[in-house]
Formats: sequence, structure tokens, C-alpha cells
Amino acid sequence: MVLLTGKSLIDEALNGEMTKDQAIIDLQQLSFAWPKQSQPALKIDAFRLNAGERLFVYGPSGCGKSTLLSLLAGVVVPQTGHIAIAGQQIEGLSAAKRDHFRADHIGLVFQQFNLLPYLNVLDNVTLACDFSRKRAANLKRSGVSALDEAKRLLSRLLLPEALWTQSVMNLSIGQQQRVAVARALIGSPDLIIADEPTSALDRDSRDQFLQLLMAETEQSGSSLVFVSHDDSLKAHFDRHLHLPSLNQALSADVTAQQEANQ
Amino acid sequence: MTLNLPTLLRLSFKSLLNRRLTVFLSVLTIAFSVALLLTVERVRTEARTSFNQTISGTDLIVGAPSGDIQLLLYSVFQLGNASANMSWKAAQEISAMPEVAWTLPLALGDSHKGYRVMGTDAAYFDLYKYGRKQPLSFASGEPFADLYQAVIGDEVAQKLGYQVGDKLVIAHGMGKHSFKEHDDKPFTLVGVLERTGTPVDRSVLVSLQSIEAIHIGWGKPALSDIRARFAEKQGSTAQPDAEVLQPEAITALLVGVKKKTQLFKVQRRINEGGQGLKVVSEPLQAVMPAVALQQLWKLVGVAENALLVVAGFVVISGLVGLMSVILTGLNERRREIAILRAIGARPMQVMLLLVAEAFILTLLGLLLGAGIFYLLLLVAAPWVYEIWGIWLPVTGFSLTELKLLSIIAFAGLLVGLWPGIRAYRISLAEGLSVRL
Repeated sequence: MVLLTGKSLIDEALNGEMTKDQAIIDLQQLSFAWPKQSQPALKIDAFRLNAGERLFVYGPSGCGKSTLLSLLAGVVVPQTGHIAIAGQQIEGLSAAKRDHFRADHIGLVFQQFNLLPYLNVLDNVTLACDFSRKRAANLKRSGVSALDEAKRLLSRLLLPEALWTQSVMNLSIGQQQRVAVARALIGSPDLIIADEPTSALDRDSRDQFLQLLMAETEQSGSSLVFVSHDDSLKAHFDRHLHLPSLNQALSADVTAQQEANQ
Repeated sequence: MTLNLPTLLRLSFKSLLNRRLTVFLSVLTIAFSVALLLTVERVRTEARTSFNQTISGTDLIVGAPSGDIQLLLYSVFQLGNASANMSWKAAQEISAMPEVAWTLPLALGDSHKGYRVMGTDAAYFDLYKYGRKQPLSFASGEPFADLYQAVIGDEVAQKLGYQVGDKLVIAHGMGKHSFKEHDDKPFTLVGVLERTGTPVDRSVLVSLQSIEAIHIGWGKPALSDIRARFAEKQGSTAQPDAEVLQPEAITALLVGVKKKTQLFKVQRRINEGGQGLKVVSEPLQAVMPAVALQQLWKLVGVAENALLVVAGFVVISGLVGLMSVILTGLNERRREIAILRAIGARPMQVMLLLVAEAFILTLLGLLLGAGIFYLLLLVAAPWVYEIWGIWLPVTGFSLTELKLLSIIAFAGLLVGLWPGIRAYRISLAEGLSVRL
């Protein structure tokens, strides 16, 4: 009984809406080096992102952006220090549990080629629910099917209905990126991580994309980490992180090494 | 934590469908190799069954000394020709041996439209056994009882459309368009045998005396010929008398012994013919059909195994081809792996995706291969039967065939394992990186 109550409390904490003052990202004494590298690629004393915040991470190539994203997504774990996402310490989890955690809590959007070429648009979006029970459960709680939610998101993201059942190969890059956002958002994960999602877009598509991304992230209550080397986008975001300033690993003598890693 | 197999299978399937053209070719390669393997195995086992079932109940086959296998082949299987005959006198001597229960003379060498004509006794229809000691039975008509009467096997009747009462002309020698026909002495068809699945189906059976009778006037003048010509000169149109029709030589003699324990004794005595005990007055050879068959399998076994090994290697090369197609595709699919990893697929799931692909393709290959195999059976069976007398039945898979198929299916899983492990390593090493 006691165990049950304890478990349900944890579930509640994990599944429930994040309150504003709750940390979505909490990094402490973090240090990470890629395999076969003697020098760390990323060293962060402390960093915290509150739930619902939209963070713009910028800096030149080689400042550790990709490394930070890999750590946040749980693809790699730090050699020392702590990393908590949505209240869950992920550095202690097994690789399989981290993959599971990523499926449940994090939506990722890459620079380009986010979609599986052999699935149609809708299937690409709902695929995220196939790999995450939590996302599927979130939708079920709201009483919508994965397919309906995918359709809702796609129309909110201004993707013409005629394209929904088509191969993703028929879409423009801008359309593909919006489909990727729909997939990242479906089932309302806690955190959306976007890695240079606009760099392949022209100015008009970029602005439209940013607006839609902001609106939908807000709507689903997810937090956003947006990585770019283009600091002109800065203005769209609540918080800015100049990574070279935070990353203590970037002292002069290791900069060359960092560049090799990126 | 579940591996989410239904989703993985669905993804595998859709991914394959997307690459259907490239993938179809490797499936086709596997299908043909599987069909080849199944065919070799089926022909091998059916040839054995068919040979093993051709003769039963006969204890010894006796003929002029040649080789055990040769004697068996030309006397019972109608393959090849006798190098020499045995004398009628020797046959009678063997008949007279106290241990011998029965003998059946066989005289070969003539044909009718490509089918062998076999001169024997009417007792043949009671004494010759095939399969599990089954005797021959008549579909219509009855055994020959007189000169110029013939009984034909099922296939002869089917192919030539003969019925009881029809006339047929026997030719000297073999071949469909035999050069010399004994057309002055047509035979009357008196009986058609039921199908046996043995060379009997392809035989025209006549009495030994009939064979003698049509050869009167052929070849060197024998005593019987002179007598017959004498009879003809006397204006007699009656049939030659029995004495004249006693054959001088036959091709082989089937022997049944009274007691199985005496079999070796009889065999030894016949083999010692012309010397030592002098039971038989000329050198002869007696073989036990089962022993000769064993020798035949030993000989043929090498070729059989060689064929199986070759077919096996063709299957292996098909699977290696499949593996190379998947491995080659893997490089272009690093992006796909990164996407799957990003939405939470574990490296193990990425690996399973590729194993599933290889497995699905192998199964498709097996399915298509089985289809090709049965099609081949349907098309080639009558042709194989006509040439080698081996009937290939269109039946379900034998246990051995199922075993072969399961081994290939399992190999399909293994084939997927290597690309799978590569994909596993790629997923670990590259993580979510978008490098191309």
C-alpha cells in the first residue's frame, strides 16, 4: 500500500504538468569527454532551465553545442557531475532506460532529414507514439487518438491536408521541418530540442517556422532548447545561453581539440 | 522494457517496400537457389524410392558376367543394354536346382515405338513383385497365352492410346523409328497393366516364344530357322511348333529361392558356373537386387552429395548476396538510424530492424522458391518420367525438405545479424549526430 502510494506519487511528479519553478534541465558540476579524448569537450558548473522556458543556445562551431545536445538527449552520459531532465537524474540510468526516457520526454528536431523516407507524413508523426507509451498515454488521457492528434498538429503547423498521406519525399524542406516539429510535439513531451532546425530554410520559411514552433511549444506546455550559430534569431527567445561563456572546457589550449571533435 | 516488435516489423516491411526493386532481386536470387536445392533433394529421394520399389520378391538376378550394377540396370530398370546373353540351357539348369522355387526368363532387345519389348513367361504376372511385394494387376484384358499376343504397361497404353484388341508391330532393336520391323508378324494386344510407377509401365510384354517366332528368318541361319523355313516351304501357315520356338539364349533370369537361408548358397553356385561344382555349365553372375542397389547408391551417392553441396553453395551465395545488399544499404541509412534513435529507438531495436529485414526477405525467398519448385515439378515431372522413369509426385514437403527450409530461414536470421550488429555499433557511435 505504502509502496503503491509512493510509486503513484513519483508517477504524478513525472507525468503531471510542470510548474513554472520546476527545473526542466538541471546541470551540476558537469564534465564530459568523448571516448579516446583526454580533454573534456564540455564542462559546466551549473545550469538550470525552468519548465516552460524557451532557451536559445548559440555559439560558434566547436563550442560544445552538439555535445550538450547529446548529453541532454541522454545519448551519452557525463563522466562526472549530474544531469537531471524533468526531475529525473539521467546519468545513472542504463542506456536502454535513457533511450526510453528520451522517447517519453524529449522531442528532437534536426537541421534536415528528420523523416523516414519510407513512411508517409502521418506515419512519420505518429511513429513517436509507437516508441513511447507515455506519449501514447498522454494522448489517451486527453481522449484523442495518435492519428487525430497528428492531423491536428499538422494543420496547426499549416501543412496542407493533401500532403498528409503522401511520401515525405514530396515535401519541401520547410514542410519537412514542420512535420518533424509535429512528431517532436505529439504526446506533449516535457522538452523539445531543436538543433539548427532553420539553417536549411530561406528567410521566409525560417520566420514562419519559428513562429509556428513557438506557438505550438507554448500550446503543448513543452520547454524548448533551440540551438543555432545564427544569433540573429535570439530575439524570439526568453533566455539566451552563449555556450562558450558557460563551457569551462573551452580554454585556449583545448579549443583546437574541440574543433576536431565537432 | 519491451522491444516493440510489431512496430519494428511494420517499419521493416515499409522500408523494404520502399526499396522493393533492389530487394526483389535478392529475393529472386534466394528463391531460385531454394528451388534448386529443393529440386535436387526431391529428385534424389524420389529416384531412390522409385528404384527401391521397382523390384521386390526377387531373390537373385542372373545374367552373363558383367557388373552387379550393370546387370541390375539392364534387366530390371531397362537402362543400358546387356553385353552378352546367357544360354537357355543354363537357365534350365538353374531352374532345376533343388533350392530354386521359381525362375522367370527375360529376353530383351526388341522394341515397339521406343518402348522395350520384354519376352518372358506368363508366370511373370504372378511372380514379378514391386513396391511392397505387390503383384502386377490388369487394368483390362488378361495375360498373354499364345504367340503374337502382347500385354502393355500403363504408360504405353496412355501414350500410344492402345486398347485391348489393337494390333502392334514389334521392331528389332531400340529407338522410336526402328529400322527393321517385324511387320509381317503383328501382335494382338490382350492386356493392359495397371500403373506401377516402375519400368514395367513402359514395357511391352510378350512370351519368350513370340520373341523367338518373330526372329525366325533373321540373322544367321540357326537350326530353328532351317526347320521353320522347311515348315514354310511345306506350305504350312500354322504356327511354328513348340520345339522350334525354344529360345537359345535369354538376357537375364529372375530367381526366387525356396528358403532365404539358401540364398547365398544358390548365388555362390551360380557364380561358380562353368567351373568347380559344375552346377551350371557356363560362367554366370547372380546378384541380389538389394545388394546391387546398395552398390548403386554408394556410387550415385557421391554425385548426389556433390549436387546437394553445389545447391547448398548456391543458397549460401544467395544469402551472402542478401547480406551484401543490406550492408551496402546500411551506409545510406545512417540518417534513418539517427532518426530512429532520436525518437527513442534503442540500439537493440535498430539491430532487430535489420535482422527482421533479412528474415522477412529470406522468408519471401523461401516462399517464392517453394512456388518455383512446385511449378518446376508440375512442368518437368512428366518429362523426367519419360526420360528416367522417375515419377516426381507433387506432394507436400518431406521432413528433410522442411529441415532444409528451416535451416535456410535460420540462416536468414544470421545473415541479418551482421548488418544488425553494424547498425548497433553505428547507433552507439554516432548517436544523434547528423553526419552524412
